[in-house]
Amino acid sequence: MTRRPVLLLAVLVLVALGAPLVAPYGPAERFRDHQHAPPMRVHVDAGGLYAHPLTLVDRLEQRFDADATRRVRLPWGARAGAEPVFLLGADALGRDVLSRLLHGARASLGLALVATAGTLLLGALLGLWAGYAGGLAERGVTTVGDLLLVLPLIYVVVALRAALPLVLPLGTVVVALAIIFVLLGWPRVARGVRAIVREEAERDHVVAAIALGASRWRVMTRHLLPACLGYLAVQAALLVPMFVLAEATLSYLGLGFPDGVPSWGTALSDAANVAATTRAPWTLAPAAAVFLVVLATNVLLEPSRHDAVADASRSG
Amino acid sequence: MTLARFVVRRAAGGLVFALVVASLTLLVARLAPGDATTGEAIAMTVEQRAALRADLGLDQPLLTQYGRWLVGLTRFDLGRSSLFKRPVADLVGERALNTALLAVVALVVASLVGIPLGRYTGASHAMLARAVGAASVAVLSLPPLLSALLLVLVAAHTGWLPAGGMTSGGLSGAAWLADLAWHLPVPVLALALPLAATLERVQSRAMAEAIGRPFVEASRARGLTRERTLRVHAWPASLAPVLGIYGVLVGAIFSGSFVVEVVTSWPGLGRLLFDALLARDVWLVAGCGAAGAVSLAVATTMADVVHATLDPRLLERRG
Amino acid sequence: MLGLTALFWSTRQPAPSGRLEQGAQAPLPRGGTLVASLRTEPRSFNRLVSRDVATEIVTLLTQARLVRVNRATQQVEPWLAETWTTSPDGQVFTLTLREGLQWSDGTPFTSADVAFTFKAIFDPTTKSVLASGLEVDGQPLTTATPDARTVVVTYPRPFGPGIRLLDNVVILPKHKLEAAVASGTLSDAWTPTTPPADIVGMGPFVLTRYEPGQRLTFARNPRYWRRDAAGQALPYLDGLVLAIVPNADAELLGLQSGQIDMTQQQLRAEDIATARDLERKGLVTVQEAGVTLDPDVFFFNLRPAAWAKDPRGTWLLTDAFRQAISHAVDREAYANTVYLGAAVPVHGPITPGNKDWFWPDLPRYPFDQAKARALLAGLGLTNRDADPWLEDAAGTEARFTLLAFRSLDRGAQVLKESLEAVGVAVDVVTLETGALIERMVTGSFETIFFNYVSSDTDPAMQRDLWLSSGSGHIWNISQPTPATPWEAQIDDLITRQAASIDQAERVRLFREVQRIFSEHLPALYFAAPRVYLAVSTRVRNATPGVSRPQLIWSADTLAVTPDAAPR
Repeated sequence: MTRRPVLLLAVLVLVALGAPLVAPYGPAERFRDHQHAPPMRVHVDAGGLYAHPLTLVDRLEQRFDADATRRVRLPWGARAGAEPVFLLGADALGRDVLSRLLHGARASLGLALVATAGTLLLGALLGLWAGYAGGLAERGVTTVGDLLLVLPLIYVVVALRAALPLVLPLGTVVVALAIIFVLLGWPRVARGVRAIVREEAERDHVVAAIALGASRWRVMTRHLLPACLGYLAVQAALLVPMFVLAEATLSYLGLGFPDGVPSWGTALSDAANVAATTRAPWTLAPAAAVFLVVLATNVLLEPSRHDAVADASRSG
Repeated sequence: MTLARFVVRRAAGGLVFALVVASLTLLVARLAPGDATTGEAIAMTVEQRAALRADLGLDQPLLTQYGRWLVGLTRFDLGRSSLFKRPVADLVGERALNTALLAVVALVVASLVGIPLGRYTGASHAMLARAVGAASVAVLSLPPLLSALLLVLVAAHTGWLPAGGMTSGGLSGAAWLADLAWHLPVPVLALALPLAATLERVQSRAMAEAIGRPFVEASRARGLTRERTLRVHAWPASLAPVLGIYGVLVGAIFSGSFVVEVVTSWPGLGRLLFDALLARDVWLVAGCGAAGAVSLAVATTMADVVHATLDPRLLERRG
Repeated sequence: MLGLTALFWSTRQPAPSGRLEQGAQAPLPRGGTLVASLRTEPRSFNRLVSRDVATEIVTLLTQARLVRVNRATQQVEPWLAETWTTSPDGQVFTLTLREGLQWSDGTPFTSADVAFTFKAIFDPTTKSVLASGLEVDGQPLTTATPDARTVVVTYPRPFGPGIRLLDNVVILPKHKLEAAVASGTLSDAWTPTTPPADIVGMGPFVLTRYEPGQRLTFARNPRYWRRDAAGQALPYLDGLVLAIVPNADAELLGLQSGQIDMTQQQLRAEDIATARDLERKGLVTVQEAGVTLDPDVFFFNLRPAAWAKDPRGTWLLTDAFRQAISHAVDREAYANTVYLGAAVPVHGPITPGNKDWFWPDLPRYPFDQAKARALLAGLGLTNRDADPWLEDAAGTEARFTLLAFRSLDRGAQVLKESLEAVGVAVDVVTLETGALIERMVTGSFETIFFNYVSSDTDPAMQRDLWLSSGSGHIWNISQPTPATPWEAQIDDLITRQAASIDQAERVRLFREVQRIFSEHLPALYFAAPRVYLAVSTRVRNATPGVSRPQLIWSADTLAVTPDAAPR
């Protein structure tokens, strides 16, 4: 049952890593007369895969005509100057949506996944500690967590941006963003983990373990943590898309991916307007990609469920 | 500890928390480059800008400004907004009510939809349950900007619901209430959908966990029906994480309401906060932050009260 | 070149069907309510202290001025002042006010109100934002009111725009605000918490209700002085509502669903197609008002001190470098990409939308990559290594940073592409508004891509941009003395242009300014979008202009068809 999503995830990871090889066009390659061109239908003939080229009919209304008399080969291993083939259409500047999706996968998805992992780790640790140790530790963690939930950290981001040099390499940006995301995200995780742990700590197997002299760390990781895995899986599903979009918000504030690195979040926020959604819905492709990734991780992380109720009913 | 003492302690803590949030906000606001005069800086000479700064009290040392603000707090005066030239307390009060309405209705709707659905999907292996689960994931992965936009698009297209706004103006009494109710669904749905999906997922996991517990097996072995087992034994045991995240949900509303309020033209606190942030109107930002802190405290307290009623052990002090 | 320019200038997009005629034959229907959208809330109802867009619009609806600039024709017309005479030296204007005008609360209007308004503006306790605009060379205007119907405005020196300056001065009611001025609290008067009944004016409407965050409701001012050609009392509308809609998408959807009838600003290029769809469904009409007055601007930091220690300063600050950039950008392609073709290529800050001051023969830099490379080579910039970028003799790469808002991203990308094609590398850095403006004002930037909104078509009213000492002289703000000889020349010409009252002379002087500007290119302009406005089909007699606010400036002559109620 867990094989299919693993496969899907593996494919996505491979594709993301190998994007520069798989993508038909470069990330900044722009076709001036194909702004918001629709996805083209692929046909097969003796020579392989082809599509009918699009010609611009009306620029303002973004209308195109497919020339049925001519055929253009699919772009892999393409020669310069050939007419473009858009499998997922083109964006507002005339860039291939599929290529930008693939090129941006590494940065956007990579950042989101790393930040999610960090958030889950930090949130789980702090939540476990708060829920198990109780008292001052619990008070401290929840207060700091609540502070981070409510404080408008936009100013901190802007201040951070002002402190950094104007031109930032991708690595610096990713690290800065990951740190910010982890700081913003851990309270959500910690809260739920704490609530679970408080319940769980009363249970027999935990009490027994403590009575037998297990160390705090062992109790937390071997006995309490497994109960939280389900919740952590849910949070992962929430956090990944949240971080993809957060990169776009932060790019408004100046702390986004450098110029030249396609970002899923920015592509989505550019496409989230009436004109694009109704007339060029293919620009929302990153949302579909995010959904697929989230679905795969979600199903993958689903713990095998022991349905005692169903079992009992089956056995009569 | 009795429930009453618990609530009082929480209330006091909440107020202190609000004060801390507001103070930290004021501090953090100074870090960003620029101040309230930046927006119109190129339309003013250097002298005019300095005069405006002095007028807004921005040229005084930080501690003096903070001290004056604290003194004002005792009279419930949260300072004066540099953007709107009105007392912050008035502005926040007007908008907080609107956002609170939206938030409460959205939370209620999300709970009424998410929790029962989560119970169902957590207990069942049927195709429908899996489909609902996938739908939840789909909703969660949809950015709030997009979901709000899509809802407003549908509303504008079909004309069944208004494409924006809170009221139509010019009505009173029962007609006004009906009009408000007509304007609520779109923003509430936009806000509630991700919350419902979150609740569904969390409840689903927790339910599945609870069902796996020995005492549930024991109940079934004793001969209880499936439904009774689920309802009376499994479900209450699964509530801990669900109630535990209500605080997070309120935090999510607080940060997510901005998007919904802008797209649906709802006159709420989120929009006000964002405008204030960009304009560097620090007093207004602090006021909004305090309002957010108060609502978070209220929500977590209420969630804990519910939890405590179900499980009085929560009120015991733990070392 | 000339012919092409004229072609660009006069060719318009084919007018869509259903274009509203101005001065429709049938009498306009009386009654009904119009709903217009507003993006932000008014910060104040007091125009003397607040210059934001929402305050301006509320003031347009409820207050009146002595004279008015017609947004469609861009000319001055009589308003509260019926006629005026000018002294031969152009310094003294004697205005005769209309007879029998009343404030909305019935109090008679006299010249005492005008005198009071000027006194309030120049009163230091008011800290009015209008005060500096009513000064010529630092000296304020003076007014005298010999009788109840006469106002004499004296300028300290002859001033080219003349009476145009008074379009900014809303006349305030003495009987309502005298006490506030006396106690020095005028800056706190007429805030959004003031009861609407206290806001008295002579505009076409009176404010009846303000629901914060939601809408402002106005009703017809029964004592409004203006009548239409047939003698009917204006406004035609019974009421008007300004609905606060914070976002362009929500506005578009509001138009579609019928919740709003018009917006305050032009359609974005990508929304024009959607609006045309709505037009085909009969929900709106799309009108073109002309070419915008404010194109996007790309400029360098021309402070010598900023580049003193930078090796790039030797070639980056030269005119030739900027001329090369101008040659490198294909303005037609820019207009096509950024505005989907709904724009006109421009080479200077004055666009064809500015009827009085646009110069079609402005020297220009046609798209010519070879010429650009030649100019760069002339500065010593050639490609000396493996990468595609040019380097100077010392090996410094031809690379600079460009600061931009996120919303101007497309233009910045096209600019970057154009420059990369000739070997100049550009790093586009997006910043948040406040941070960007701070850098602009303090001079800590290399180049910026920006949009500068002008307040009037007359350059003499834009002296903070043109004069080197101006706060809006974006490439080198508030200079104590001009940093370059050509800036000193422009200072001199602009001062003379502002002081002359001979229109032909003024045009000649300003053309010289534009010529110098074009030679030294402190700022580069690429394309100016056309102004498209979508208006609900129930609205009649809309007279669109290119200056803000494009539609509601003529609120008193707007009408709505009676049988179609707001949905």
